[in-house]
Amino acid sequence: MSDLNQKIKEVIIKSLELEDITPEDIYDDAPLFGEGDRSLGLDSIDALELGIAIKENFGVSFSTVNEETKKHFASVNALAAYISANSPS
Amino acid sequence: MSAENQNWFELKEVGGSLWHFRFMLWITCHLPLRVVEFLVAVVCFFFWLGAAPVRARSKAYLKRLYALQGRNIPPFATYRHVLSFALSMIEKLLGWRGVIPLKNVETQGDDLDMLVEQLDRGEGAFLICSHLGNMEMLRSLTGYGKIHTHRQFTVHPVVDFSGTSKFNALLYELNPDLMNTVVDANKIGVDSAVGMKDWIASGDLVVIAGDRTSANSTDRNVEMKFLGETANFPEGAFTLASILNAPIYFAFAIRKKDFDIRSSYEMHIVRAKTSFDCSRKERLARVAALVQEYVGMLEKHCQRHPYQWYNFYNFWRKNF
Repeated sequence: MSDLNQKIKEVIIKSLELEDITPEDIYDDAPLFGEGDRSLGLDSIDALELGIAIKENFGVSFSTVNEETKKHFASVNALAAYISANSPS
Repeated sequence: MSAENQNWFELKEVGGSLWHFRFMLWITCHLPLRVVEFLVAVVCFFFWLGAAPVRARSKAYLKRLYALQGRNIPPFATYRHVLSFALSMIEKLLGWRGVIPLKNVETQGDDLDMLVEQLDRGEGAFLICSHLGNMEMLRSLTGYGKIHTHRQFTVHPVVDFSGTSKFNALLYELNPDLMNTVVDANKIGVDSAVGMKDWIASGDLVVIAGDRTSANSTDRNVEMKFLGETANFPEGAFTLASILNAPIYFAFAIRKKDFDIRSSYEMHIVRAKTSFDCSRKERLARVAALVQEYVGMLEKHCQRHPYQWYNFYNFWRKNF
């Protein structure tokens, strides 16, 4: 597991105050939103908060085109790829 | 499904074709307002005669409101309600053409000064408004220029565009720049929360109505007693307030005379007592407290100006 993935998981857990969930419980390639066995099951309001947390922690913003953004939030891996590609540092 | 029980987003756009709206715009621009008001009253009368579902839904609201005051609905109350709404559309067109007369705004000695000071310091805020009165008057806050605020800032309304596409097309034609500051409520996503936070941080206002449930997600509502019976309020609007963690104000701008668009306006700005410096777990209770504060105020103003609340759907419908 890469450091970035680990950090993203920590940000998710901290910003959404997910109790009883450790970074190990979040799969790198599983969906963050919606139903499904391996999905983290976040909802649209969680998404808003997560967007803010990602911006504050990694300094990346998202395009206003919703479909694009959805792709970046598909999984921890997708987020990591987007952050590494767009990170200012 | 009976007409009274339809949701507003299941209703067709009232008034029909773009041609109607264009005609409305033409008379608004070319005739004296007194004549415009007269024409609107005549057109509305025939619309009212033919629109039984609208009458039923207007009655659903008015009967609860007057029951609370221990009175019967006055004669032609539903007509007055529809007329008041039609006049508000004219107002909106005037507002979008940029003709909002600031001298017509009466402040109330409430928290407006606090908001203005804050804006002058370069801090933004989150405003929760309603479908009572004229939301466009809130734009006059930006125009205060010499009178109140000394700094340029933008008002970003969050608007649900579904159901009013034709009217919105017209608004866009009138003032495309203004439309660019609008956030589409149906397209709120990860990026919009970040955007709103940035706007507020840079000193702008984000405005959302707290009295219309979302067309997209009928499941996320907060139940609250309104005019004597449990009604649904949109959780999203209030939760957004909690996420952005900005100062929250309630804003109401009401025509002093219900049926005169040349009338002056009362502007009420009240800082919310509820704040969100709390854990996520506690937030749900605080959101409910915020809704309660808001509904109390909405109820008070609705009682004073019943005909200016423009929600023509059954607010008290139990099962979604």
